[in-house]
Amino acid sequence: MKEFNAFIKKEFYHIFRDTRTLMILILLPIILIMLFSFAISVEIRNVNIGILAPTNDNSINQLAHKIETSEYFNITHWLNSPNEINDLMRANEVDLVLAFGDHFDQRMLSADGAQLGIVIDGSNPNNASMEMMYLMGLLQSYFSEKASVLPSSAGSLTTNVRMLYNPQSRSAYNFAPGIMGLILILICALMTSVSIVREKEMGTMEVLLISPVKPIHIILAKMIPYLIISCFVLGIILTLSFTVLGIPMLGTLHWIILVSLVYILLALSIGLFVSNMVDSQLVATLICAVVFMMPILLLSGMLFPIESMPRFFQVVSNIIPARWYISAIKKLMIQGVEFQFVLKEFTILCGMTLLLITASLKKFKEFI
Amino acid sequence: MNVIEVRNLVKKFGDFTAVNNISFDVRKGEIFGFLGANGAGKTTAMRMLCGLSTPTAGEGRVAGYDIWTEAELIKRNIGYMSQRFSLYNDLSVIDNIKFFAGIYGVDKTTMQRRSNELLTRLNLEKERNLMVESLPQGWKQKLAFSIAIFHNPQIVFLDEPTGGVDPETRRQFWEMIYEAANQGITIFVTTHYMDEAEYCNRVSMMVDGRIEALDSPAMLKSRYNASSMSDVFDIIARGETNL
Amino acid sequence: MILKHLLIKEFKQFRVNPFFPKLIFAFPVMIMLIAPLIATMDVKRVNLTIINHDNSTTAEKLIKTIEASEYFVLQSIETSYQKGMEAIDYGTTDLLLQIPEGMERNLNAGNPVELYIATNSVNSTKGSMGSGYLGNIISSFANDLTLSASTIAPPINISVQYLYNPHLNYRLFMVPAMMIVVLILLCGFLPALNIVTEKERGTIEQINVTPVSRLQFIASKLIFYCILGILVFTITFLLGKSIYNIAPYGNIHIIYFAAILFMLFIAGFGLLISNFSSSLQQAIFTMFFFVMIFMLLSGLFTPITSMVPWAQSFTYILPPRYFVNIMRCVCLKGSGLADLWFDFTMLTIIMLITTTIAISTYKKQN
Repeated sequence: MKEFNAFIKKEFYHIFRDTRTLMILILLPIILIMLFSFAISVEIRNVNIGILAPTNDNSINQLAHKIETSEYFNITHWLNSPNEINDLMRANEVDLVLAFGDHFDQRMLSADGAQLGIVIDGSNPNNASMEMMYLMGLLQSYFSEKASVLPSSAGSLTTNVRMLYNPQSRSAYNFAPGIMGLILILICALMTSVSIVREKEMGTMEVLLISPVKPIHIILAKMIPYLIISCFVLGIILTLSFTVLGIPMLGTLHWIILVSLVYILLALSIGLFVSNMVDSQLVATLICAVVFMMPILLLSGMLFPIESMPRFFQVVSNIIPARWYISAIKKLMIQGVEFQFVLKEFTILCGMTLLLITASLKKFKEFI
Repeated sequence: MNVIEVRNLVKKFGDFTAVNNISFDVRKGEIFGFLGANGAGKTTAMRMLCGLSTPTAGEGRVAGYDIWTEAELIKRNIGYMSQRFSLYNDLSVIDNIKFFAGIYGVDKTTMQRRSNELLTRLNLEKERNLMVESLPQGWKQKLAFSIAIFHNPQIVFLDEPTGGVDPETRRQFWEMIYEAANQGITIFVTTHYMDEAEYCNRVSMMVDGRIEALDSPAMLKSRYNASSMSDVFDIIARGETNL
Repeated sequence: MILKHLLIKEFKQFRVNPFFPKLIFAFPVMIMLIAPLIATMDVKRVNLTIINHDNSTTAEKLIKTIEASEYFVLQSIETSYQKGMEAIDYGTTDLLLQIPEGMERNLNAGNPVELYIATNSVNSTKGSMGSGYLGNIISSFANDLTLSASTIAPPINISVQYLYNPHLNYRLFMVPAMMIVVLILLCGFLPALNIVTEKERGTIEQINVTPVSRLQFIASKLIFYCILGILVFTITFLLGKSIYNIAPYGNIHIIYFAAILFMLFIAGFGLLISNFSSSLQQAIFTMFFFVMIFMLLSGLFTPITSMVPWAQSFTYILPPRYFVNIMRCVCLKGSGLADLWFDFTMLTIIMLITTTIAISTYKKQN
């Protein structure tokens, strides 16, 4: 036990001597979570609209006013000819153009009806469809106001929408848990794998292995300091989420912490596993930072909804630990559900952790 | 003629004075031993002469160039081999030779001729395409030395060149040093092996950043009335000097 | 001359590395094969639970109409709101639609009926898009109902045209982004690790006592990673073309010109970090920090225009922002140099500043 403590002290000594890495370890999650939760959003705003109106009609002006006062759209250009559309869009000056037909007011009352063309920059399909949805809502409400003078015999059918858990539609609610899942796993895996592989590379691992300390203790001694640092980081992230980001803490804190601890352990054992597979720090860092980052970013459901993926990748996403963690944290933190509702996620994370630890210990024994 | 002239050279790292006001000259073609215990300031002094580190105070000229203002010109005229192994482990023997010859501007035909000579002399012809990593330590050091003098520098700086090799290899290594000296290359070598000091024309003894003695091994032995350089060093290190 | 030898050295070291050559071929292929298939923000197949309190043919018709749409997967039909909320908490459903009792009766009697939609909007896109689509389906369903009772709405013929991407194919949008991601990761991380590796192995000392100037030393590495970058970029480009049939609409020379400017920037930036790091761990953590910012704040995945104003201003100092815009504009819209002069100018300026700093902070002496 005494030797074991000495080992842990040695590891801490290594970590604290390199103050810059320690600073990065602690500052990186803070800055990233603040930056992304505040900055990243997929809600459209400031959509620049161009209007092409060949004739000066009353309803066009009314509509323009309605658009101008809406929260999503700004009218930035009044066009004179359809030829301008392409140039403006290529230079990203406008996102959407409303091209009204001749004599709009007059034709609206005629049997043929008035013409309205909508040209949308489709290069970002997500934005394009959202813009279209909001614009359609706006047009519908404008034209139905105009039509409301006419009586109807049937009862109307309306909808009342309630946005649960996130009434202001803040993207931070979605991204903060995502960033947590991404950062914790990458940092933990990176730290453990590099610190173990460094000993291998410098030949000091051999020295450790012939010392009277049990191999399992060597591994534990490597993991414990990083576990403690990760918990510290987790504490900071949670505090920031609740205070600065204003994410409600609806769930019980101890469940959030329990799930996070399992996730941190899982990440540490991933690092352990990688360090058993490779011999150089360079490869270990590249695997953890470059090769792991993409699947987590793509398949965890943080940026791209899992249901929209092809079936095959929906299945593949099951092996991404971050997917389960993010899902559990969203439910616990934001929806404030009871623990039983995240039992599935929790069990999967525990299972993965056990599997990885067993596999890497087995591999580690082979190495001896 | 002096190829190295050092006057009152000082290097401080914060409060710690690594090199404390040293002055000496090195003559052309001699083997100059720079002796001292670990941490005595040998490597720091040498790094300043090579232009790897800027002095805190003092003056120095190497190969006729000022160490303050003409460090890059010095580098064209010196060779360097450090105690930390200094070849590219992940390049082959011949690629290392070609690379270092190339960056010193050795032309292609000279390079080819001399690299063949070198490989023959070191008995490395069969290993020419082997990664340096796979060579035994002694061979690596001999190869590193040969590469350090490949471009015919005026001076070659050797920082603990024989660290970690067996006595037989050390002897062979010193033969190579003599051979280079015979070709007119000045050798500036740091070591903490006192027996190696006997091979030098002149040695300086460094203790705690200062040069406590500087002379030929024979003169030093007679002055301190000692039978070996090791005894000389012990006397000096204990501070019983009366220079 | 010296440059040539330095370059040969970099190539040889790279070639014998057991991992790098595999990485620069396998990684782009992996990303290009997989990422564009996954990276879609289309809201499709939203899980829906309907709570039906109205046992009528109209309610059934409405449910059928919703089921027929590709946007929704009807998970279950419940009879209590409680059950529906539980499904949301388990995560099995995202959207609840409650049909009130007596909907059909009230509609027939000419009374207004309100349907209640609740959405799990932790993911706000999914929430608003899902409820939006559902609202549209219901209102068109309602139109069909009232149409039979004949109402005259003012006739407006609306035609919608999506320029540059008529089918709103998300891959057209994501493939250029993925090409950039590959460049950021490879041309960013490899140089960041390069100089620091020489430091750790001690070979940097040997270089520092040679006449190799710092310009030559950094330039050789910049050129090397630029060549590597062009190779990687071409791989991703050809894959994008052959697999996803995405041929740039605009001039390919403009794309390569921008790509080279960007590679020089990102490689210079990596070397800069390497200069300031004394261990691999330091270099990789520092680079990781910046790569995260580059990837998530440059408009690769989420639009810059959606960010809060201060974050939008911040993106002006991020070169990936300009490269992302150039790639998308040239590939999709066929924009030319004249349209993109601002992006090119900024990219060039920041690239020059970065590489200059990388060269001047490299210390041959300390």
